[in-house]
Amino acid sequence: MSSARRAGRFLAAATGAAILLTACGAADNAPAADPSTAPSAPASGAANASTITHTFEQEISSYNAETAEEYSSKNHIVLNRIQTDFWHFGADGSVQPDKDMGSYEKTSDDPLTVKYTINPNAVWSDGNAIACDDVMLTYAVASGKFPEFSYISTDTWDKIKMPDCAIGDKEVTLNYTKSYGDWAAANLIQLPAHIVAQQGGLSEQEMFDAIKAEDHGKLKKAAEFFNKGWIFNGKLPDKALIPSSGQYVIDSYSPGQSITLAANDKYWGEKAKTEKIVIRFIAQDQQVQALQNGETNIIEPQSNPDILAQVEALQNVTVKTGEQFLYDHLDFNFNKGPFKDAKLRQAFAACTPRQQIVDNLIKPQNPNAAPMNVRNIAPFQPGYAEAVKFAGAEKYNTVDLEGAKKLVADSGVKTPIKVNIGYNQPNPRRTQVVELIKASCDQAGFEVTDTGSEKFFDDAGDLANGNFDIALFGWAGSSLNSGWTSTYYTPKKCTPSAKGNNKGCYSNKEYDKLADQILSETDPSKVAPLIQQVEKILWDDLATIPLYSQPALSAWSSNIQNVQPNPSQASITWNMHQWAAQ
Amino acid sequence: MLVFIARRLAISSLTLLAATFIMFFLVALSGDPLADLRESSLPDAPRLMEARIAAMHLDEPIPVRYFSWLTGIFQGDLGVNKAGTTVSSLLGGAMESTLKLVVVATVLAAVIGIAIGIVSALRQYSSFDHGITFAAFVCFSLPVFWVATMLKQYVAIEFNDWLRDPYIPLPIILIIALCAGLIWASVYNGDRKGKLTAFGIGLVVTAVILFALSASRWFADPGLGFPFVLVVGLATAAGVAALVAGVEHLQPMYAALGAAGVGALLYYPLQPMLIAPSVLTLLGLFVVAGLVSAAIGWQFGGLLRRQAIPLAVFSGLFVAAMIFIDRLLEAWDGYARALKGRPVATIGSETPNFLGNFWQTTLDSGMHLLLPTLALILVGLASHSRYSRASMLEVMNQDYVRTARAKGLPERTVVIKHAFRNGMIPITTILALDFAGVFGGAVITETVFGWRGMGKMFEVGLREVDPMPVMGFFLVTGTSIVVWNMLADIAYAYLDPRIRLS
Amino acid sequence: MTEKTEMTIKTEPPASNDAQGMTIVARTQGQLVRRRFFRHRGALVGMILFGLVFLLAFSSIGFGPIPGWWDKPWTGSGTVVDRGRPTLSVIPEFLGGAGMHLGEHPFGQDNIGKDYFAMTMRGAQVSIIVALTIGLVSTAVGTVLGALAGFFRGKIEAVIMRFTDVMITIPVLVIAAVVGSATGNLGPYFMAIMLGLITWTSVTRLVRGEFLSLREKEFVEAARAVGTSSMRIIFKHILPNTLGVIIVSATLAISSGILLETALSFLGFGVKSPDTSLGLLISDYKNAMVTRPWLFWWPGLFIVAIALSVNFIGDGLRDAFDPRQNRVRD
Repeated sequence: MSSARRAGRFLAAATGAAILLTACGAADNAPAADPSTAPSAPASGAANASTITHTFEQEISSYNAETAEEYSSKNHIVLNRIQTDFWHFGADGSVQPDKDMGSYEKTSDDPLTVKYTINPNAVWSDGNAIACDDVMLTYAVASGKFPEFSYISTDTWDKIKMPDCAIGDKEVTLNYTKSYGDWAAANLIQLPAHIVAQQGGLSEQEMFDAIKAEDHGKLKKAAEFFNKGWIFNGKLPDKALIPSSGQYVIDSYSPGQSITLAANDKYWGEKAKTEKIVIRFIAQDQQVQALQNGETNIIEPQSNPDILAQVEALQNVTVKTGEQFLYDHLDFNFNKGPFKDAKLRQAFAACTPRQQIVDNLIKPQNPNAAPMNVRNIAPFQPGYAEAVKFAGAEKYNTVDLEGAKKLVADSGVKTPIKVNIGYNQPNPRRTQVVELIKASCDQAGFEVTDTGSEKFFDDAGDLANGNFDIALFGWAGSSLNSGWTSTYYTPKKCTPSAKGNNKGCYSNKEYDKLADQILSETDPSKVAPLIQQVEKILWDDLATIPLYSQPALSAWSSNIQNVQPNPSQASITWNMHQWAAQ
Repeated sequence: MLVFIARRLAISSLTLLAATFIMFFLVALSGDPLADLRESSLPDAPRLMEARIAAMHLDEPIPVRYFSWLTGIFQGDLGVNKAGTTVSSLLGGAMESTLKLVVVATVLAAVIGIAIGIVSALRQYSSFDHGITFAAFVCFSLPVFWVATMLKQYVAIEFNDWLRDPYIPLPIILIIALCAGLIWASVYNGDRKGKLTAFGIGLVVTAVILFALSASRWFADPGLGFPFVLVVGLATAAGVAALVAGVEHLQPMYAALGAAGVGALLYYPLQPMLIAPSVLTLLGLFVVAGLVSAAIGWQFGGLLRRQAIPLAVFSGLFVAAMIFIDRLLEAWDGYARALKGRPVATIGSETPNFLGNFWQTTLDSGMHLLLPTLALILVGLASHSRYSRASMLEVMNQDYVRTARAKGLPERTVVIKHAFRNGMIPITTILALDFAGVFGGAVITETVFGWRGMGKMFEVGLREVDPMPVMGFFLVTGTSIVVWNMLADIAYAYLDPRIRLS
Repeated sequence: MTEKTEMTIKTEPPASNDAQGMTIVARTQGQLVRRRFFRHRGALVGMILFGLVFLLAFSSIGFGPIPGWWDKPWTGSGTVVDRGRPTLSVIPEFLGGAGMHLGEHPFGQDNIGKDYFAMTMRGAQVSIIVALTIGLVSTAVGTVLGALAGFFRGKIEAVIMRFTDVMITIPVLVIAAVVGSATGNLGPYFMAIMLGLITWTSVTRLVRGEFLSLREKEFVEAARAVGTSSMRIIFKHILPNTLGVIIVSATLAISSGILLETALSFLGFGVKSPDTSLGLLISDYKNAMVTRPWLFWWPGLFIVAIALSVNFIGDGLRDAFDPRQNRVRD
């Protein structure tokens, strides 16, 4: 009994002490609020009306996406409205001037001269003016004259003389050494020169002078910073190093999860409509469920019939299908095998079920799809219909087995003619394309074999070694003509390294001449007829058979406005500053 | 003890070293690291290729690359991946989320699995046992990725949809109640009448609870509340005390009840402190709860202090945990509203830019952990329950258990004192071995649930034939497996007096 | 409990009954095992289920040159009928269903009109063969290594067991993914052999343990005393006694093999297209779970059916070989 009583007293004491203890604790937190009225969650996350969440499957890795190593859509998709220039890809993938940055005009055709005027109010988000020094940095990194800077392609700036302007100038004139058709898409303002100078241990003037004097020693540290200093490495670089020349600045970054952009209050032009854009890094196959569960607002996954059906079943989601610049095609081998014979190429083109391929494989994902009838103008670009008509591509739209049989018989080659079609595996869609071709062309006297391989694109793989009769793969088109002209250019030799993109070693002197003309023609109205001629030659020779433009798919919550998919590499984020949530 | 650990560490490090060599070799040989550039139609592709060959030292033989990696490790440099990002920075965030996932899943699977296994061993050949056996085999046979994909659809998306109007239809209540009743009946060990009673009680209790939850829209704004904490706390304390110490020993019972009661009475006084606590405050509160409970146990324990103190501490902490959960649930409403009423997450380990208070951020990380952990637990649960069942049965068959029974000891004492501890010995080994498997499972669940953890890092690294991140992943997994194994060895030695730690 | 005990007494009368005129049939170890196995209900069901799945998979679409009774190939495309919905119906007409029939495409079709039944059967074939190969290879390697380590002890044991320790440090899925990504394009069977070569660790440990205890037994002592060679002792005297352990662990290796294969194929490190496997099918169609659920469910159900039946067979075998386990108080 006594022990129980003792215990009771202890219990009372313990309770008292504990209450006292918590009371002391509570005093620190005064005023003690009723828990039920405790501040509720601040509106945040995907919930905030002034936040829009976009999704990409890869994670941004650098603020500088212009180096050879970091040139990748994972970076561009974020940086589209953080680093702006005089032009951008418009909604149809064409080159559009960006009027906020300023204006530019061609002042002379021979020699080609372009005058750029930077908006007087244009500043980096840290207040530093956007001016000639930034153009000079672009010249340094992009001209190839300073190999210490890593840069993706010197294709444009190797034809431009060093700009002749003073450091703070808002007017810059570019003098080309050679006529260049894609002058309107030259990059001028890319990365902040003042940051590169500062991190390179130089004053802005010093760096400017060093570039003018081609003083490589002085620029060494600056180049090192340019190449490596902006790489994220798991955390955001110091915010002072990553200013913006667009509507958004980088606000915060959570490795492996997301990056947040905030409106740039220093921006002088068309302001951002939404305060914050979050880009979450979510693998392709999880994006639909994330959209459905409200964890993201916009997705742009690789199209396949199930994803399409899935997003279409969602409520309050806008779905848009379309085409891309990317298209699949058949390449004949002109170097060896049966297709050196033009008749057999024609026969094969006649038996290839292009319409059926599109109907079975592409239409389910893009109801408006049709076989692609020319190679170098995408179906959604102006001038496509005219080019198709001029090139006379329609005759290959329907399968003509009788015609194919006759052509095979005319060629005198003994049937069945063995045809190896190579492509990279695994790629279910291309496997299915080969199946469909085999079903049709085997009736016309060919014997198609699927020689798809994982090593198709390898150094010593089938494509490089010309170990195919027909190669099936994709090319990325572009509204810039400099992107494709080399593809059909007569190679010096038919070796893996010398043939470049011309995998089948096609050759036509007339084409070569036209290609040179297209590259140097600065008047767009004159380029169109040239391309039509090119397409006619390519169809007459049957250099390749274009099949279909790869389908694109994007979907977004219906309450978000102004979302516009973009067929170019600029992607859907090209106009993120116009996105608005309701 | 120290010598044992030191020797064990030395051997383990050598083992790990050898394993890194094998891994490095295999990864380097697993494919072509330049594959993506070969397909590229960029005019600059050949130059990029050269740059990558130089950066990844592809021109050197693999052993040379391995040793330069190894020397890097000893200088604290884990290397860089293909894109030039340092592996240590990649690991930073990834390690935290993966270890959290793996440890939570392992611990939960072990605790629940062992409990189920023991109960089914004690009720061998009962319908409960048969049911559990069958369920375990089904779980064994489930592909994790298949389950994970389903969880996402049904537990996240459709549960979220349901939360908009959290009303449980009557037929569902009845079905769940029926199942609960059957489980109760199958666990009950006795005659038919007793089983029927158990079935009835289980059915009615479950049905009433579900009905109440549904009617009060509990799921929209959940919480436990003081009465629940008090009643459940006291009941649990009494139950555990009865199980461990026996009903006839009153001192341990009083101690447990006392600790639970004091804890529950503090429910209201504690609330102000819990509005916006720091982790330290919470830890401090838990420690205080433990100490106070220990003191209560010491005071009440009388002659049975050795039993009473742990019992009291357990009861006290149990109540503390309930209060914690109660407070967490209180934050649910605000959290769910912040996420537009879709609290169960399918993607990632956090909501971007989520700025809630302590409770809401805890909930946020909990809701993100929920599905991957469930998927991982399911499989672990099955193997743990099977092994602990087998192990318990083995022990129950031993002579010393028979002797204990023959002496006339009550069944409770035989099980708790003689069988349980010995039954745990082989399970520690299994736990250690399974830990490696959980890491493997994490690779899959992270893929399905879009976690950017180490598993993802491994998967991407392997796909791109990029040895550095794969090795970074393996270094962490390998080390934790080795450490875990060592802990298991120590536990083994502690449980099995025949083994000496020297 | 009591019921069970009584039954046991009735069916297995004590030896003293012999004197009362009852005959006791002598049974060999093999007969005993078989009897116990076939009395294990789960194992029996598992056996039948596995047999059915196996028969279905290999007889339906044929294997290699042998043709099957199902007329549609797993590679050929066709026109998609009714969005590719399955035509299988199991609800008889009098219950309001569409009657019991297979229809044109019992499991439905994929997006280019391939017959999904044929694809699932092909997936099951590949997954079963891969799992069996993994199980057999890993058991063979594990047995040899375990036997060598357990019998010869000394340096051989030290080397083998250290190597085993090293392998155990690497999670199975991790090393399997690495091996799979290296060998996946060489065909599923080669990959299966390679996977078998890395998953032998648990068998090795088990067999070694058995050998360690058996080599000290009197009959081995006796064999050694009459000058029997080591090889003969291993193969004739010890190995037959460890057969139970080996067979049971082989079954478990097969069931974990099928899950391993499917997981690897799911991650993209296993079987590659144009061949297929159950895991690959799920991976290909995981996005179809809501829109065309049959593409997701059928291969999943087959994985579960195969793994579950093999697991039950393993459980039955364990009980048959080691009746001590799972028996208490009788």
